[in-house]
Amino acid sequence: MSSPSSRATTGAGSLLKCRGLRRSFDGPPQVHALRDATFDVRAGEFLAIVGRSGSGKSTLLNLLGLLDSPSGGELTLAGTDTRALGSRERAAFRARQLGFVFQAFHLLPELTTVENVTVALSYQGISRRQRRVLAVQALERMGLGHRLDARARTLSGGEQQRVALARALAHQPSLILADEPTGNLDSQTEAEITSILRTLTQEGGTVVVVTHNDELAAAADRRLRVHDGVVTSPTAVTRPTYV
Amino acid sequence: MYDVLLNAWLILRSRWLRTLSCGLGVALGCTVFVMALGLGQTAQAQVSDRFDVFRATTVSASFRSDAGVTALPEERIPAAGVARVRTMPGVIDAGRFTALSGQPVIVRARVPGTTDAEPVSVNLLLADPHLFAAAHAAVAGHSFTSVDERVQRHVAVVGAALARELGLTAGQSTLSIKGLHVQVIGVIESTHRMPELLNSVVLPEGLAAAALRNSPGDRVDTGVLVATRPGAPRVVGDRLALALLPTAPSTLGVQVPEDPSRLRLQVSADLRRLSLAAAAVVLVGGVFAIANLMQLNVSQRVREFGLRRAVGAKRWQVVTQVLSEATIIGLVAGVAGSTLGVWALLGVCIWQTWTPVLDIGAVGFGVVAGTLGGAVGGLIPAMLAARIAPASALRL
Repeated sequence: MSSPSSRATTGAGSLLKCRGLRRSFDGPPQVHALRDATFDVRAGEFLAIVGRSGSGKSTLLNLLGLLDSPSGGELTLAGTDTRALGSRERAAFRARQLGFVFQAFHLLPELTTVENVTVALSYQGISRRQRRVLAVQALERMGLGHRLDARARTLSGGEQQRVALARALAHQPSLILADEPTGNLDSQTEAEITSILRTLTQEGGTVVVVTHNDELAAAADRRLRVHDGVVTSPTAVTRPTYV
Repeated sequence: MYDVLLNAWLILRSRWLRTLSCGLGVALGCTVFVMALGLGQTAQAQVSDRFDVFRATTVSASFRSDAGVTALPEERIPAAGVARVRTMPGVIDAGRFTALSGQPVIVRARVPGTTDAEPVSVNLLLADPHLFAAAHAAVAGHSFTSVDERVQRHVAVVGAALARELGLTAGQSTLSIKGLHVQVIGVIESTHRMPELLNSVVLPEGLAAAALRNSPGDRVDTGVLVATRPGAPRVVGDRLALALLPTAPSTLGVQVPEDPSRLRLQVSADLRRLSLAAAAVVLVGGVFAIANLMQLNVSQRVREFGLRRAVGAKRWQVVTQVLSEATIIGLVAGVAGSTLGVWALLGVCIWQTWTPVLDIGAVGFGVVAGTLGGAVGGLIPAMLAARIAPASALRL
C-alpha cells in the first residue's frame, strides 16, 4: 500500500519509476527500512532525497542503483523492469546506465586519476584506447586535465570528489546517483560540486542525490523527504542560480 | 581477460609491499622445492660414486667350518685355486685369509723403552701377501711377502686402531701370540674393502700351524677376498666357487655386491621420494600462506570490491581478478624462488665441495608449482571477494 503523500510526480516518459517499492530486513525485530515508495524521476531532472539519518534514504538509493534488491514493488529504469534482471544483468545495467558518487569518494588511492576512471570503464566492454579518451574528457570536464597522472591519494578532498564525478559520468550514464556527495567537503568545494551537479542536469543528465545538505537540496528541481521509511513530502523548489 | 589482467597488474603494482609479502611464502616454498630436488640429485650422485668405487667391486668367498674343527688354509681353499682366480677376466687381485673366532686370542705387546703391556684380546687373521692389495689397504712400514711366508718369518702387520690402542709402531714393536714372538713390520692405515683389518693382527700363512695350535673349540673360517673391475663382480661371483674348489664348489659361500645400477636406481628413487615429499610439504605451506595473505588482502579491500561491483563488475570478473592477482604473485614468486633455490644449491655444493646436479626440469616445475600454488591459494579469497555485497561494502 502506498500513502497518497508518497506519490510523487508520476507519468509516462519517466526515466525512473518506483511503484510501491519496499525493503525490509529480517530480524528479530524485522525492520521496514522503506515502505511503499511510489514516485517518478524525469529525464534531465535533479532530484534531492532528504531526511534524517536512518530514515531510509540510503536504502532507497541502493535500490535505485540496483545495489540491493527490493522486498516488493516495482522499479523501472530507462524502460527496463528491473525485477526481471538477474545478478549479471543488474551488473551490466549498472555499468551501462548508472553512475555513482559516494560521500567517501571510494577511489583506489594508489592508482592515478585516469586509472581510477578507466578501471570503472573496463567493465563496459569499451576498448582500452577509447577508455582513455573518455576518461581524459571526463576529467578535463571536471577541471582536472592537469592532474591526470596524479595518484588519487595525493589529491585534495574536492579533487577526489571531482575524480569520482568524472568516473560516474565518463560513460554518459542515464542516471547519476550521489550519496551525500558534499558530506566530506568544505563549504567552497561543496558549492563547486553542487554547481557541477546542477550543470550536469542542465546538459541533459539526470541526477538523484541523497543529502543532509540544505544548499545542495535547494539546488535540486525537486525534493523527496523520507521519514521512517516513508517517502512523505515531494516538494517543488525554487532553483537558485549558480555562476 | 586482458582487462582483468590489466586491473590485477594495476593493483599489484600499486600495492607492491603487500604483493611482496604475499609472494614471500610461495617464493620460499619454491626455493626449498628446487633446493630439495637439487640436493637430492646431488647427494644421489655422491652416493652412487662411492658405491661404484668400493663396494661394487668387492667379491668374497668363504668356507665356514664347524666349531672345533681346525684346518690349515691350504686344506680348505688351495692356493692353486686362488691363483686361478687371479687370472680370471675382471679380477684385479685376490687374497686368501683365515680368521679365528671363538676363544679370544690374547696378545702381549712389547714396545721398546716400556714395560710389557697387559695382555689384550684381538682378532687374529692369517693372510697371503695378496690380501693387502685385494683389500686396497694402505700399509705404513711393510706388508709381508711370499718369502716371509716361505721362510716362516715371525712377522705381523697390525691394524691402525689396534696399533693406537697398544702403542705399536712398525719395525719397533713385538707381539707375543700363543707363545709366538712376532715383529710388527707394518700398520694398516686404511682399507676400503676389508674394514676388520683395522682392528686385527695379521700373520703370514706360514705361521698357520703355530697359530692354530691349542685352539680347541675355536672356529676357523677360511675365505678369499677378490677385488674386481667395475661391472665384473656378477660374472666373477658366478665362477668363483668353481675356480677355487673345482671338486666341491657348493661348500663355498660366495658374496656378490648388489648390482650397482639397480642400487643406484633404488637410491635415486628413495632420495627423489624423500625430496619430493619435503618439497610438497613446503609448497602446501606456501599455498596456505598465500591463501591466508590473500584472504587478509581481500578483507582489507572490501570497499574496492564493493565499488567494482557497483560500477558494473560481474561476480566472475571479481573472481578472475583476485585469481589473476594470486596467480601473478605465484608466478613471480615461483621464478624468484626457483632462481634463489638454484643459487642456494650452488652455495651448498661449493661449501661441501660437491658437484651440483640439477635437472633443469626441476626449475621449470618449481615455477609451475609456484604459479599453481598461487592460483589454488587465491581460490577461496576470490570466491569471498565475489560474494561481497556492494551496498554494505560501500556503507563501511
